[in-house]
Amino acid sequence: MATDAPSLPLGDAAEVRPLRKKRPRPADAAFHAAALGAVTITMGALVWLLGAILASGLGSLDWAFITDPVSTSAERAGFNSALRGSLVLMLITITVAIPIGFAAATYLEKFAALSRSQLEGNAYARQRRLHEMEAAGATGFGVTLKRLEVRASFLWARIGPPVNRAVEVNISNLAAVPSIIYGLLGLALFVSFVGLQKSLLSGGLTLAILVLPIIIIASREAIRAVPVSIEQGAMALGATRWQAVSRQTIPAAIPGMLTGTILAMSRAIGEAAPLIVVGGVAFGTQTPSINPTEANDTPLFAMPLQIFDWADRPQQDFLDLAASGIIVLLVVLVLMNAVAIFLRNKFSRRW
Amino acid sequence: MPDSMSDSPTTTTQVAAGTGDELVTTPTASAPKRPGGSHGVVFRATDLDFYYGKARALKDVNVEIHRHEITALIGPSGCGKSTFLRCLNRMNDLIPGTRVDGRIEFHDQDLYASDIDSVDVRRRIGMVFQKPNPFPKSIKENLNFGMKVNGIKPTAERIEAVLRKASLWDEVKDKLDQDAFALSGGQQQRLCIARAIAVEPEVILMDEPCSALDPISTLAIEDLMNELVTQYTIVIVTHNMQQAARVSHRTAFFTVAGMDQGERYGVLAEHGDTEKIFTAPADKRTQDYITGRFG
Amino acid sequence: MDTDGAPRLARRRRRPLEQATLLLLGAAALVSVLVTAGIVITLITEGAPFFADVNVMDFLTGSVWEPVNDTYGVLPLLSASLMIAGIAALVAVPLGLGSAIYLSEYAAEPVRRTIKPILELLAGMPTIVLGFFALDSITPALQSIGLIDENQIFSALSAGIVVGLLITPLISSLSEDAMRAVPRAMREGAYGVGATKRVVAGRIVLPAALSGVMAAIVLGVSRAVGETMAVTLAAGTQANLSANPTDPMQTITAYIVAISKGEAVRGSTQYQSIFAVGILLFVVTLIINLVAVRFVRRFRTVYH
Repeated sequence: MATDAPSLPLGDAAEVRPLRKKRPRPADAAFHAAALGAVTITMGALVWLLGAILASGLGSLDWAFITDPVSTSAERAGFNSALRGSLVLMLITITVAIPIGFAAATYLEKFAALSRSQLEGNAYARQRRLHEMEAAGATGFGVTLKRLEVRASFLWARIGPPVNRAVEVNISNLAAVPSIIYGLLGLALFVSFVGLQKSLLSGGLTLAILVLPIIIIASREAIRAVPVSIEQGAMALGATRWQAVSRQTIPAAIPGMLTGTILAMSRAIGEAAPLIVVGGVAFGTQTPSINPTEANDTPLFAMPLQIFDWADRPQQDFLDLAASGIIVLLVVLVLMNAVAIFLRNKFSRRW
Repeated sequence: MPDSMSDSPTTTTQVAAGTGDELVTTPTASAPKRPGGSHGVVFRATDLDFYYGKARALKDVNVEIHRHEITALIGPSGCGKSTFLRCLNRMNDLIPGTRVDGRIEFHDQDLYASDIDSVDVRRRIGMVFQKPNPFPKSIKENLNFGMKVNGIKPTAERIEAVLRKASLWDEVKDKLDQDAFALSGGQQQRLCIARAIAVEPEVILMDEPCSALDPISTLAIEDLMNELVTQYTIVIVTHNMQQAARVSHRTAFFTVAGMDQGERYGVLAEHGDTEKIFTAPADKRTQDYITGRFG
Repeated sequence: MDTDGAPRLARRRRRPLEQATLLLLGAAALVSVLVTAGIVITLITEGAPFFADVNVMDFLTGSVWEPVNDTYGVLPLLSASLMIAGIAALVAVPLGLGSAIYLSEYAAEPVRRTIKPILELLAGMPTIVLGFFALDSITPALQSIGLIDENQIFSALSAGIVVGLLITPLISSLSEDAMRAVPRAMREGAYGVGATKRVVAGRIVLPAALSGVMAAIVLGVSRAVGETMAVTLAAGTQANLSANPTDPMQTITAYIVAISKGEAVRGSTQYQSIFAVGILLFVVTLIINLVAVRFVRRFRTVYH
């Protein structure tokens, strides 16, 4: 920093001081070096991590590792059961989380933003029609239904906006809940309460709940990225709001929504904690079925669980197997991210 | 009141002070001839107030819009002309917290009556937006969408007829399956007009349809409007006074008021035949605006 | 259509199918509320019986956690969770903040665009991988510099370091967003009076972005408290109330994993105990998150 104060008084300087030559500023250099150092250390740690994993894992990584099922002997143990388990888990998670997540995102982004006065407007319109019906002497089931509808819409005008706001706050809070808590929920809800087995099914459902907030948040961003003018253009042609949203806005947002979903799934596929809580760590040697309809009878196998089981043992051989498993898991993650990036680049539009 | 504009000082000033664009096809700003057919009242706004939340945006608007005419809505920024336009097809319904007081009649029916289907209103009263907003799909799908939601069968003949009407057929006939975003801005806007007339509206509302376009495309759209008015009623919001003078038969001048009470809302200062508004405005504010002293 | 007898506007139509669809969409949005309710309800219903056997005060203040002897004093678990989060913060705050300052103030755009995704790679790393890294590399390194004993496998320090690495990208990315949101005019004003980059970064940008940076740090700490797999692998499964970071320790999350790995029968005190500590974990992270929300809100009111 410039420490030399200009000689006072300012103004009419008798002689013009020439511009100063560049000079070293040690404090600035140190600051710059520290910031650069932070980045370098972080990236260095990443390189170290990847190097260590490759060094331990490449040795035992071969085709047999991919095709062999789980085993108690380190020489014969393979990753196949874990891969199959993760595949079924992802299928279940996607099947449950996508419809709910996309629907919730659509609702929150497009239909929940009505103000109280607007909802009241709708309610009064319904009430006027009820009065018209009554004035016309209509009786019976239709009028009763209408009366209920009017009452419900007045109620909703009052509670709707705060409810919608609470839902939004709730979703962002859910995204910050530790994943192991979802495991406790899954254990209590699916295993203890519903009575499912400690199986791929209860594990997949638990992961679906875990990724739901992430999918909703990402999908809302994708929907928000589609300009409202598209929807207005559709409505100006005599489309209903639902037609405009479902046939124009959502199709335009789908690539973004899928990108977000893939990224959410790449979080789910590496999660071990909630699965351990729901299903323990399976030691069975049977090959898990990849038929999703048998998921409730299949013990919980998954890549991160298998890695944990191996890494948790004292023998170096198993630690190396864990590294091999990590390499496979990372390759899958890289592939998923590549698909997400491809989708984003291929279909992203400049509006 | 001078009948011919060539000897009108106002007009001279106005043309000279214009943006210098060569599109002034007529030497004077004389309004185009009205097409044949009836010119009965289509819209009648009575004591119309409009609110965004608590803020008033329009006050006491009383105006009539006539069939087979082009009505231009002009005025400075923030005068509520676009808001008024969007009241005519209940587009404002879509904005949370807005409210309409007073009455707008469409063929003597209350447009805002509780039992009127707002979806049908928008089908009957089409709209073209400021920025071309084609759907991110092919040209054909852009046209099909409106027909499908209205139960009209989208045949090839129909698509051709609509595109011809919008003077776009020759440019796109070989690339109907191409992405609409690949078209130029002017072509996109004509596609949006084609899309609007494909659902057989009676009125077309245009919200500054040329403000995002170059002069050549603007000219094409203006020519198109002149043809369309033989079959449709057109209401256009424009910032460009030459454009209002060139294309419209009737002009409504909106201005900002209420500043002395700490409010800011639009009012209708004056409306009438375009020729009269531009040559002999009755309202001082109109005169100032047209001669460029304000706005 | 060129007749004055224009057709009447259609009467408002019911669209029951659309209304039903909207109800379905709303129901989907409601699922998220049910999830929250589900978490609270299951934690309480499954954890409440635990407190019939164990006094709440003894649970919260007891310093011995020995489930085999029916001694449930949660302090060892809680202090282990907090200590590891503290070590992680000591690692991650300088690294994350330094990276954020470098990326937002020093790095050229192409450099920034290369480094950011690499850091995000670290953020997306499954935590089990970091646990492995702790066992395989960090612990041996700590042994070789003599910080922990040759034969010792587990330590809070090792776990804290990898959790720190895990939350570094989170802190750097959120802090960088906050710093980049500081208006350019503020920077230019400082440069205009002859300030150097260090002064601009340290005395203009950082204070202006402070609440955003604090939110990033608090969220990082919350993540560290809830972190499970890395700490289970690296810190061990031995409950231990100790102030020495090189000791092995068991965190709340590691205890839940340890019980879940075995067969805890529903209804047993052990089964109930994981829900009891789950309540504690949920409350602790909730409080930390609420603090973060506070900071974010303050930051927003300043610049948005």
